Amino acid sequence: MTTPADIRVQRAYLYVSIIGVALIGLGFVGFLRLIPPPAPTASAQQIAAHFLMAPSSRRLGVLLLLAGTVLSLPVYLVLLDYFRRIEGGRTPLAQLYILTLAVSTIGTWMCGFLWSALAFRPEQSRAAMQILNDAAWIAATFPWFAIPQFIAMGLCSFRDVAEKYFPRWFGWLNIWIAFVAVGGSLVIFFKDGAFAWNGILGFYLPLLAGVPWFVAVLWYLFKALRTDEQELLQGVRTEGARA
Amino acid sequence: MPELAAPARAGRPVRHVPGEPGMWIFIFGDMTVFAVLFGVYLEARARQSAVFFRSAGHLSTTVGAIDTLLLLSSSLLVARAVRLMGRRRGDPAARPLLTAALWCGAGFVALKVTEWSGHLAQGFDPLTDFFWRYYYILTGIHLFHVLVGMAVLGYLRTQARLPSLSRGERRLVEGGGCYWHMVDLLWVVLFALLYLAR
Repeated sequence: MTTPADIRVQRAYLYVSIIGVALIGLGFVGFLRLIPPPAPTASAQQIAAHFLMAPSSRRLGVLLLLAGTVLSLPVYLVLLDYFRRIEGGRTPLAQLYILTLAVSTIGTWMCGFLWSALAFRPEQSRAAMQILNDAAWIAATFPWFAIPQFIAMGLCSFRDVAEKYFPRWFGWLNIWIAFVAVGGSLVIFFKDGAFAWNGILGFYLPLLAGVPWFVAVLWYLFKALRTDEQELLQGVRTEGARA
Repeated sequence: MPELAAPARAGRPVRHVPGEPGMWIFIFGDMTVFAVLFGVYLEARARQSAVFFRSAGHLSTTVGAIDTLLLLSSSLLVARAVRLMGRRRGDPAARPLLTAALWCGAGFVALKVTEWSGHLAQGFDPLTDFFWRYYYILTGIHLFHVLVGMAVLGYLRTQARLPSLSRGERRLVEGGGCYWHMVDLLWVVLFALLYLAR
């Protein structure tokens, strides 16, 4: 049975996630200085120079990136709760969503650890640093766990037939992002051009598509929590939201 | 005497968005991605026009034209079928139209695979030069959309069996048809960019 305290905690989760995403941005852009991303064609010396010119700043950037990743996770739990409510029963789509989300989060962790290794030991070989950097960027941009995650989210949203929590267009937005992510698969083939990890299709378009998606997620989750809170106050059951 | 309901206003068309409004986020979003791809291709071609035009000479305009004819025909068949399925009572003629559209799609896929095999056998792979890289990527991403579209047509075909469709089902059918038309439109642009612009 949902209580007002549950809703307050979930609302706090959303605020914490906003802070998490802000920390990710600060770490990635402000301290790691990885926007624009270094070109895959950059030499080992150039990669090393980028990380060793300000090693403390890069290490702090990694810390913020990893801390931000942890703090950004709770919003996905709130999404999971609503997807389970929408589906009811065995919740197959919600399970697929949370599993693929968990695995794709590993990609963020991996690139954080790899970049921290780059800044950790200045005397290591430049070739080793280049390989670590390659692995980090491929982990950051290769999308294959994100694709089923977004498809599951889209299909879950469609199951909210009454559109109590999510409008139909939000489901379509998720499906579209899954399609956009397919192009990111090509990052392992190309070192330059639109499909490389610093290219418009490998990096910028998926990143830009994520912005309206995250804003929409927060908007509709805050709205859903308000709806459930009002229903609780009126003594209406909030379980079994499936129409 | 009970008050009669006010008559509907004459002369004002009823607004109807084919499919559903949210679906157009997906369709326009996808078209935006392709627009970016086309822009990237044109920019690369402008920088290396000699390489592009030399390599594009190896493509068969006839094969491209047949591909275009297949997709345009399938679009016409799908449009007819969706119209029939939109009627209050479903029309059994819709199902064979969708079957024929599926065969056109299958023909496109078979022709594309054959075309690629021919190019690869001649030694033209994605790493040969920039033209071939973009050729395989653009036609490959489009082919992925065609395959998804064929799955959508398959779903439409199952819906064509029903004696009548609910409003929601009709919207899905229209949306599926719109997706297939988008796939067709994208191919027309690709045909012009890759096969005709020399």
